[in-house]
Amino acid sequence: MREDLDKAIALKSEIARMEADNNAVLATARAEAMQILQHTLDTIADYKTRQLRDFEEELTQKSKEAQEMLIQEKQALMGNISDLVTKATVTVASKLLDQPLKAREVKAAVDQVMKKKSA
Amino acid sequence: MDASLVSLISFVIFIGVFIKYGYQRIVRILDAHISATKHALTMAHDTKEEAASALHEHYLLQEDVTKAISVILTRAQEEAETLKKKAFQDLEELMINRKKFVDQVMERLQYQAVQDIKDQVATLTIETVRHILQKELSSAKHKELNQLALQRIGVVLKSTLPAI
Repeated sequence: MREDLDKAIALKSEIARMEADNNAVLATARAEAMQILQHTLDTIADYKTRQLRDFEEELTQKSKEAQEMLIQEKQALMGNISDLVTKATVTVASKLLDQPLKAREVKAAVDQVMKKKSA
Repeated sequence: MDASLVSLISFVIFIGVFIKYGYQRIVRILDAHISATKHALTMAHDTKEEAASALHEHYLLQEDVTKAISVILTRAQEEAETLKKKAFQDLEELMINRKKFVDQVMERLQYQAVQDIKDQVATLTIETVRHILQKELSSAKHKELNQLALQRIGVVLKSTLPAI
């Protein structure tokens, strides 16, 4: 009888100890889950920062290239502007004067005006 | 007096004294011992029952703990997945908006460049036409153009003013 009682008491205390262990395991699991989440958050934040930085660099580079191309195209068109002005002037001046004008003469006039303008 | 009679009397007296003073006490002691033993037995039984019940509860609790850990981990994984998805969405949205903004800026620059060229062409054309007209237009043609303009003005006035 004494032996049974002792066994029962020992079992009870063992159960109490195991319950405490269970609680500890639960707390550890919760802490690990929190760590996993925190780690995920940090990893995501790092990834976002890196991706955004790379994207911004690429975007800046590409927009810079596009702007340079635009400037070059504009300059090229400005270089050929005298042809456009000549064509437009021939059309307008011929109508106003009611007589056909020679493109070569008009071109000379355009060059003269452009030279005067740039000066 | 006979010696055996004396012994008998002494024995009877002893029995009497024993019954009077010792028996009840011994019975009481024995009853108390029996009661204590019964109580201890009951306690041992109760404790055993409690221990068995606690063991059962412990098994249940352990199952609960296992389930709870599984739930915690699953939730953590789900939450991490949700966070990941949200982060990717945000990132994509941010990149799209940024790209859209840069595209708009480029479109504006392109439009501005075309406008600049158009303005330049128009200005130069006007200047050149004026230059040519000053040089080429004869006074007769000048008069003719003026006359034509006056006639046009007259026609327009007649059609718009009320008759007097």
